[in-house]
Amino acid sequence: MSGLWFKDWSTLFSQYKRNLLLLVVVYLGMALLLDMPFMLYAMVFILGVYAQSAVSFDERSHWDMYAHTLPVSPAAIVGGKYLLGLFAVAAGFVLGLFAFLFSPGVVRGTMSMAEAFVGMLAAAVLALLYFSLSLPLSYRYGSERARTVVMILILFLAVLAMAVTVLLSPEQVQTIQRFFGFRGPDQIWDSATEQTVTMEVEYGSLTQWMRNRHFWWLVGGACLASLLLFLASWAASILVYKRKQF
Amino acid sequence: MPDNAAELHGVQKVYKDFQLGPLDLTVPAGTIVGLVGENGAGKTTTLKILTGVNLPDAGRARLLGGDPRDTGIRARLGVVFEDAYFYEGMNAGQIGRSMAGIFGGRWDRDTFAGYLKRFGLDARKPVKEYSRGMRMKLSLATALSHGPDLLVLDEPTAGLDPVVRGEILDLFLEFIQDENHSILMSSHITSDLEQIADSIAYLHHGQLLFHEDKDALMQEYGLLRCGEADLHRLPEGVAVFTKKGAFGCETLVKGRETVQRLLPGAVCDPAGIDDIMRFYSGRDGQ
Repeated sequence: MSGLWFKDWSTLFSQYKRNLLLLVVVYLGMALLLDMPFMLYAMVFILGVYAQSAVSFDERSHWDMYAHTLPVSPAAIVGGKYLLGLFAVAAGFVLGLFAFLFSPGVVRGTMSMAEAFVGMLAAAVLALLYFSLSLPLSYRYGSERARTVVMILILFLAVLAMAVTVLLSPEQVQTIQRFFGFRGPDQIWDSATEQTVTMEVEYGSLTQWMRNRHFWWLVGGACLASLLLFLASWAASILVYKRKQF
Repeated sequence: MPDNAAELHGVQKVYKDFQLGPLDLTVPAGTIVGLVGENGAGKTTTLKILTGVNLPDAGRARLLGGDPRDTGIRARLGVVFEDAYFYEGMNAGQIGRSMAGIFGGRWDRDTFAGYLKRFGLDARKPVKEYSRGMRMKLSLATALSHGPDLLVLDEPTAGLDPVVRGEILDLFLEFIQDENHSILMSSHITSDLEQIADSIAYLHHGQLLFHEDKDALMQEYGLLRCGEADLHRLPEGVAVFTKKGAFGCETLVKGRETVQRLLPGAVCDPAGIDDIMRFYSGRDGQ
């Protein structure tokens, strides 16, 4: 496994050394100097995509055919890629979170580290979702076609989510929003009566969402689901890889 | 060590527009077997099945006495495929480190470094900056540095100049000095096989036409130049195929000694592997 791991790192670094350095510098620079924290979320996702591109390099050099003649199992070959993806996302997560400590929002106190943590988790979940969908498809159809299929799948999931909200009645949607803390009663100052009134409003900020413990269920559920999908994808990739013909 | 380094028994592989086999082929231990055939005859398909890259639809492949998919068996195998290798952005040093991780204790760093030095390969230079000959030498260095018992090579000398080809053939001859070592090598450059192979297997349209000892083959097959009437004096089955020209016939014959005895006045030179392939494919083309 260590040889496969080293091979993937060497391949990625030989090709992307400058590119990666530039990406980290530009993204960190924009996040810290221009107060654009979402660049740190994007960085996690992009690092996951970089790890996935190791499959493209294997395709170009017909590595998988060669690897089938070496004393390594399909599970080890595929496993190396998944560990690489996990490592890339984890590295982006840690680096991004560390960078948040110096971000203008956190320094000024307008953004909490808890918010940054949830944002980074969401980015990591998305990166793992993309990785989990694209890797088995890459092994099955090739990475070029897999990219298109993943985009269609993501579009399909988005349309499905929208369809669910359309199918539900406004009351049902509000009940769900209320449950997870996206909506709720708030104390609002009424200038006409010069009194504080309690009204139901839609919450727009992470700080408001985080006050509801059910929101944390959602965060935990999303993390758990992405990890389970990641493991299922790993198993599927091994199956696809074992049946692969060259 | 088993008697045969590699065996194919009744192997078949069916594609949409091509069928390989049923094929029986053995690579006796301690020998070099040359695999020849036209483009698309099934040479690479055969090597892929033998090395466990692809599974046959029917039949069985045995490698070094075991299953080609067994990683323990593969650890004793060295393979060079024409275009399948590490990504060309890597350098020889990185490839060596990677192979050391893959082969563990079997990988000999000193042997690998020795080959790089012998072939004049810069370990820090990316493979993409190597010439074709240098890439082949690196592939061979990679295939040899874990002490394999069997080398399976797909067109290892294709596109190389005679000097580099000579170096590579010398390397194969060194490798085969150990009686436990064997080589199965496909090639279009039949002169290379005539130099080093012990036996020749000829694949034609997915079928094995013959697998014979090279010296016996050179002895047995001949190119007969004579008039058409003379051909009728030959027993059935001796003439494989005849090309008729304005000045007579050129015939590939099997059993050169018989022909020389029956037609003492005719010219019957030993046939090379190229001639044998040319006439067999001409026969099937008719």
